[in-house]
Amino acid sequence: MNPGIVRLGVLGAAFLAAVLGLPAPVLAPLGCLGLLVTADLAAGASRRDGIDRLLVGAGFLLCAAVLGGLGLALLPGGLTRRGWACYWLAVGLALLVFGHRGTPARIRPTRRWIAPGVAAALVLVAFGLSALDSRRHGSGPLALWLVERGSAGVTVGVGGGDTDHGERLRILLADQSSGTTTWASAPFSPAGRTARLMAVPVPGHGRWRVELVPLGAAEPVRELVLDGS
Amino acid sequence: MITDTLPARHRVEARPARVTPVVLAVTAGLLLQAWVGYRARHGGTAPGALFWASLLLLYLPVAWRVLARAPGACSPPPEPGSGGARPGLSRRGQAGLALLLGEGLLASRVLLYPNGFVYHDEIIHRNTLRLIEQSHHLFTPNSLLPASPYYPGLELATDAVHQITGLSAHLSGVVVLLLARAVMMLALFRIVELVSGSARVASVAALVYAANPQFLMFNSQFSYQSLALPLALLTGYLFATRASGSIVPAVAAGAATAVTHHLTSIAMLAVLAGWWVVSRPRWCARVPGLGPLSLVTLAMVAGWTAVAGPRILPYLGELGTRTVSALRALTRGGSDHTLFSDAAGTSASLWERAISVASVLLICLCLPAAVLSLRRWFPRRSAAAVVLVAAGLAYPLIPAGHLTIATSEVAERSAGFLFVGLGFVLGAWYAPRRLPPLVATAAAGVVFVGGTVLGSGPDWLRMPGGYLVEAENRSVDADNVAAAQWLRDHLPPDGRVFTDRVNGLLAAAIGRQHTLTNLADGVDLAETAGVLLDGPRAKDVRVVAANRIDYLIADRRLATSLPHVGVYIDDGEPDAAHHDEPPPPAALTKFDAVSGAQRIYDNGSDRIYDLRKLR
Repeated sequence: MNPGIVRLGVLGAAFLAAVLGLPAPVLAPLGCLGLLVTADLAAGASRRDGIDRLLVGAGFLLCAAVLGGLGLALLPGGLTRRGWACYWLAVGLALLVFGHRGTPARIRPTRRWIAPGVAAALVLVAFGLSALDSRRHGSGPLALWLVERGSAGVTVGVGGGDTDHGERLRILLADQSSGTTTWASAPFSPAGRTARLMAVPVPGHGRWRVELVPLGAAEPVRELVLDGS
Repeated sequence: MITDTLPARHRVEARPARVTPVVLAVTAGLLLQAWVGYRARHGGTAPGALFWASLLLLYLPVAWRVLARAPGACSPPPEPGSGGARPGLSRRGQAGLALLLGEGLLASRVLLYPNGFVYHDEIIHRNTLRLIEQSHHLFTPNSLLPASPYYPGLELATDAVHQITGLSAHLSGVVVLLLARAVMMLALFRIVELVSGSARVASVAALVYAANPQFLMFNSQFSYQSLALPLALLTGYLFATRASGSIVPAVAAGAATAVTHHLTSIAMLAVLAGWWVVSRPRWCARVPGLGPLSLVTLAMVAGWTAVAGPRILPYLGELGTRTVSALRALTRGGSDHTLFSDAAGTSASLWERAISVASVLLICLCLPAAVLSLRRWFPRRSAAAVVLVAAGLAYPLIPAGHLTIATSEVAERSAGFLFVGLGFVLGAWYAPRRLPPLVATAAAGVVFVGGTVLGSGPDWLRMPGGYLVEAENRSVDADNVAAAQWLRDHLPPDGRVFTDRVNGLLAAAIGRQHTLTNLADGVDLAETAGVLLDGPRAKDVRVVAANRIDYLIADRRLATSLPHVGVYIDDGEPDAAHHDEPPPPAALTKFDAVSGAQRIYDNGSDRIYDLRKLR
């Protein structure tokens, strides 16, 4: 098939995917392909060798993004997905029509690519596993917070995915000045990442502590300090 | 064209050496880095030996392949311009190794922090990117660093990838960094190759460049210099290889540099001007087009600096003032910098100190011999070579700059430029020599590890691990991130937040709040820092009202240690860089007792106070 037609097809598909806002699993490969085609066109396929083609192609993408972004930012719509899609399509078409016509880049699948391919796949797997592990390790702590204030008191939230308070908890309401507990919730278990909302009858005067206390313990593990009014 | 240099005749060897083992070794190094990250995240301590072993697995195989002569090869040393590659490695293979090394070292950083940007400058630029994504326009104020929105090149390139591929902002930033690193290594390779006429000199130069103190850490970060430096080199390359006499491609790359980073664009201008000046005398060959390119670059840099003026000039002025003051103090025998130690007293190990010193000594010992051997270049009347040699000879300024805090910052940042020249000088010196490969590779390893130790700071800065007080990456933990996410999810945007250094970064970049800073808001930290760091004071409420503070984030862990970067909040706070004790625990809970102040969030570490009623 004519390489020009193929390139046009890729540029058009990447444009449509971006404008239609397709989900990332579809948009990412199409968008990357579109950028690769643009870089290859910019490299000119002229008399340059592989090193220069890679250098010019990558450099062109970066410069075009920076300078094109400056231009897009001046437009009323600014830097939107649609604006970027139109810009890259225009750049690709201009290169396709006015750019150097030379030998298009050919990547021949030979045995020499097996080792780099395996290496790249291994690194990608390592990256994926690191990302998963890092995300799991970084889950948030147990937290207590004020959600809103109403006529009958306040609503507080309890949540957090990484709690060592596996036991049951309860919320106490205490007068800050006297320390007297005036209200206690029923015991409950933390709901992990999902926030548990609870109404607490904070009076409309004075200053109050809302405490999150493990069942059977005396000291709170989390605490809010609220004005009554 | 660089008409004053010899043409590179690219000889492709009949029996190219295999690079597959090198690729596999680099892959093994990356897998080991991923394992290091896993161990550091779960163990809470950094397995230093494993970290360095994995880095050496990335560097040494490439060094061996570049520096070693192929078995049985006995060709005479190549003269400058002879085409370069020794038997055993094709020119393309040498360029490929330079690329592999650069990308491999960058990938090692991504593997340690695969889910987000965690360093100070990275979070600042992530915030600028967020502001662009939200407003769809440029120049939205970023209180973390007011100059950043006026140099939006990195963020624009990242936004382009983000919008067109749908990848997350972080992954898009990584893609941009990978592209920039490819441009960096290949432009460096080609420039040195063009000037020296030898691909071998170029590949040794790339090896030396990778040992520069900023290469592994600072210039791998999502920060504007990481993109600007490659763009500046691309400008030089496009000018040197321009077709049909046009300087337009170089001007375009120069323009992209000018809007990406102030210091890099100024340095680029200085190099172009220096090159032009050197090419003026009769003994040097003229470089057509260099004068016009220098003038256009001057206009672009001056024009953009004028646009950014009110934000950038105070920033640069402060940097200059600090540097001059430090130099003055140094001439009087005073230095504020303790070598190999951070502000909290964490010291580098003995072997790290030894290898850093060895690295500097090794380069300084090689430099005179290298310069003497370079006299062969003078008959070639190469102005470009003169500029590169001058940059290389300035190398001693980098270790010398470490004598004070202010000059160490300037000296280290200049490494990105000076090592281009140093790579050329050492590459041209080494290329025709017959050093035993083992010795040469070992020396390269020492230079690499020593340079990296010198530029990467203390141990904790290099990899994940348990929480440390005000320690950049090590302070960005689940608790602080959770507090910032709560700000984003539960409070209206742009509330005025006062807090410590790391929570301030996160409150802006993740929490979408306006973090109060002395740079953007003129906050007088001499007085205001006490709101967070001092025990109860009579004037606290007045200071809160005067600075219109909406929310205070108090991390109770601040009371457990001295700050590892020297400050709890920012320069200007009392005892900055000279704290001798942490704030009292009462400082971080004192607003519990202040009528009108409410603690509205508590995750065990971070407490968020609503102070709006005090205003």
